[in-house]
Amino acid sequence: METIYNPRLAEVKAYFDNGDTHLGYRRLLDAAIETQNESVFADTLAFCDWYDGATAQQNGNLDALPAKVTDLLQVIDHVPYNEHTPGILLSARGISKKYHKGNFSLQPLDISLQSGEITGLVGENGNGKTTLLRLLYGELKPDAGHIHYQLSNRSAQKSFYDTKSQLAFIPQRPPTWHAALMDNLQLAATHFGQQGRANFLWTEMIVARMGLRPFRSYTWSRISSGYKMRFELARTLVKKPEILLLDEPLANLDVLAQQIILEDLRFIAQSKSMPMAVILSSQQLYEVEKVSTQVIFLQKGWAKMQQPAQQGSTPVETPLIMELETTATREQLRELFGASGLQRISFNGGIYILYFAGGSSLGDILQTIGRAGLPVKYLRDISASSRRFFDA
Amino acid sequence: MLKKLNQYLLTHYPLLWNTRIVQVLLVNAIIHLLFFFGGWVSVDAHNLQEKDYYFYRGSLTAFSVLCSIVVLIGWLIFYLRNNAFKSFYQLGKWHLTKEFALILLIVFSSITFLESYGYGERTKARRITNYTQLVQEVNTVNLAKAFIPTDKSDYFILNHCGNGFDEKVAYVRAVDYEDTLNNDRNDTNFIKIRNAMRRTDAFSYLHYCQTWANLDDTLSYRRNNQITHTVKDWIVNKRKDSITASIKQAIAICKKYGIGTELDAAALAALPFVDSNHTISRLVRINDYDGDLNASPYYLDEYALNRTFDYLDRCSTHSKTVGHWARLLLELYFMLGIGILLLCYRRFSKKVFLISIIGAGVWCIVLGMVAAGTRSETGLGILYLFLFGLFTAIALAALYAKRSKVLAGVLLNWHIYMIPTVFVAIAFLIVYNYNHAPHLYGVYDSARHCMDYPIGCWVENNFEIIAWGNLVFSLLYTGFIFNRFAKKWHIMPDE
Repeated sequence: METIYNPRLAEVKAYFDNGDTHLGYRRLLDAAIETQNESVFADTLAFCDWYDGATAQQNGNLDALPAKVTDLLQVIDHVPYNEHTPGILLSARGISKKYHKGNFSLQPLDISLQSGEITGLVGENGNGKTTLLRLLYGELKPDAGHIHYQLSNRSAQKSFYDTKSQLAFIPQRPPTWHAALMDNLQLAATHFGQQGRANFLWTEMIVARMGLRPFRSYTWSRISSGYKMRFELARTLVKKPEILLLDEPLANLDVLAQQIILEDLRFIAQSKSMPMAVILSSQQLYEVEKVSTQVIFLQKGWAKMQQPAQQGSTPVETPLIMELETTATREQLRELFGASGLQRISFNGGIYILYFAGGSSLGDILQTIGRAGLPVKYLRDISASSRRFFDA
Repeated sequence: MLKKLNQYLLTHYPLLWNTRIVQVLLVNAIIHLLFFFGGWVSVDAHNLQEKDYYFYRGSLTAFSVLCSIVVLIGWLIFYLRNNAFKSFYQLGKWHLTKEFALILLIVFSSITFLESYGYGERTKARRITNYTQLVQEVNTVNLAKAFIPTDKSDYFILNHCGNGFDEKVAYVRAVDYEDTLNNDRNDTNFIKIRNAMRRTDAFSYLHYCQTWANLDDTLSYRRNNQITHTVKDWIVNKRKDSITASIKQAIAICKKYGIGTELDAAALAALPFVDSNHTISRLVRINDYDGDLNASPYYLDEYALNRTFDYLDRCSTHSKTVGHWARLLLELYFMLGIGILLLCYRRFSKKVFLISIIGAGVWCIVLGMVAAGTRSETGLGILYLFLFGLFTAIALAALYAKRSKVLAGVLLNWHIYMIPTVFVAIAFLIVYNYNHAPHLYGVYDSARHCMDYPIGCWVENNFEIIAWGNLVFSLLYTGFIFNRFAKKWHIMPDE
């Protein structure tokens, strides 16, 4: 029988079959979390115990892994779950903010956050990213415009306190946690309705999903800033918020950790049973773009929206913009690409940005480079990226 | 076991887990027990005379304060680790009120160790002498005391049982009524006393009219006229054996409590019969040392005996004593003060809390300087109430307009700091004005003045009720109303 799980379970199985056990493990946990079923949680945690034990040993024997994964997937496959219909959770119209001290002001901006989607917020420092997040979280009062929350949780409509309890804002530097890390997670879970054994299983599942099992007994001061961010994210997920606002979550993470956390955010946002709208600010432009449904580029308080290309929409002839790192000079490049529609060259941080006329073909450009034997260290099409707004 | 309990509380009753109420109450219960035990062992029959019902030794008080500080700091280290309110966790409708109530309970249980010590003392004292025994002993000593004269004035002819204190013509041993230079020489009472002193029966056992140990609960003890009746009966009927037996019983009681005595029952019983007027011929010393070589050989430390009885009486009737309730009231106000401070720390940002604490200190200094400068109690009271009104009005205006979050928070803090004192300040103003109000009928007549100013009169006479009412109001207001303001403040945008 085809269930709503089938594609997900097939995906998990494929990961394991292809030897990508780490990603498969994470997606398996995602599938288990979707069920919101205590029995599945218990089985999954037992699997986690076995998996951790097996992988902890050098040359650990993972022969039983396929069978165990299959067993667990079969259990998950038989559990019904509630699927949430995606919808707009927050819509802001014409919001602006001017600080009394300083000259900065965030210019009027419209934004909607939809469950299951990630919105990237990019821009240089001091251009209003944090201001926008704080406005959306209700920490700042907009000078104009209004913000409307359409959260599905009925209790969130009682008062703004209850509304805020359904939002989660993670600042760039999360506040220090006191007491045991697990106690903090369990406390949050209890306040959000998880009691007794359900509380234990739920927090353990989230901890496992965030890859924090080895650090459960640690104290806040003993873990690195990357893991602090992951624990903060775990605490947020335990609460099952509808909107997640993250201010520079990648700031203190290494490249690999950045990629993993962004991927996790995408998986979490697209959950079937508890989808959420995520908005995150970052300087990591390309990484954010990869997972975002929409990207807002903020420059001196003005927003430039980057929407995904809609399927079936009429293609518009957009200019081709490329980043190129090469030892060639500006003049050599101008000469080489002159016939390919090159309109402008700017030099930004050791990298050339080449602006071609609308309708220029990337294939033609690559052929030109190949024929000329141009020494290329790095090449990227940024026509659809908000990177193009960062002009020198 | 404790770990399991912690886990249970954490996953079922997060507020109880966060406040560590179970652990802290357990620790406090142990400390209270130790203090109770300390109080118990500190009491024996011989040191009851040294006990003070209201005050404890400085070292004991200091130790108790130290214990309170250690417990409260230890508790705060755990309690302040988590704050569901500031983290915007989902909270039940009465969560904030319950948290305040738990804070109060913990603070109260942590600042009242001395009460347990006192309770231990009282329990032991009651075990040494219960109330029935005490009544018997007091009545015995009161009767025997008639035959153990320590002060001639108790036997003066002008003493009349049943006279009110005001009407009594009291002979004072230290006054020389024959002194021609005394300004009161021509006073009516002086003349009466002087004339009476010239009589041969001026100081006689027959005139004894006292209840020597005059304890609070007069209903249970024999009255002075009953004692006088028995004394007269024994003397008139020459019941020397009864007198001897009574004095012996008193000596036995003194021995029980380690009271210094040097009494010869037979010799003292013989003294009333030395002459036909039953004159007081010999006094009993109340100090064990008297510089006068011709002083009486008899001695009774009546001060120590009185203290012993007084202490035992208070131990038996402590719940009825004014001091007991006054001290409880003081402790409850102290609890409220600490509770409000902690509540403000938990509800507001650290910045707002710090500004409000420092600001409150500055206001105290300013008001103190105003008070010292103007020397007007009424003016100071009115200024205080005006400031309270001003702070409250601005705080609420800012709160409902959702503007100036820091200012609103600081003013709300000041508002709640002042709440427990506002009605007391109003009451003080009323009483002050009542006491300084003009007397409408010329000569001061308290009853008439009271009728003219019934509110002032009522407030003055019922200050204790007002203090209790104010405490209850402050607790309810903080728990139910102020917490709502704090929640409203918490969701205010910063700018």
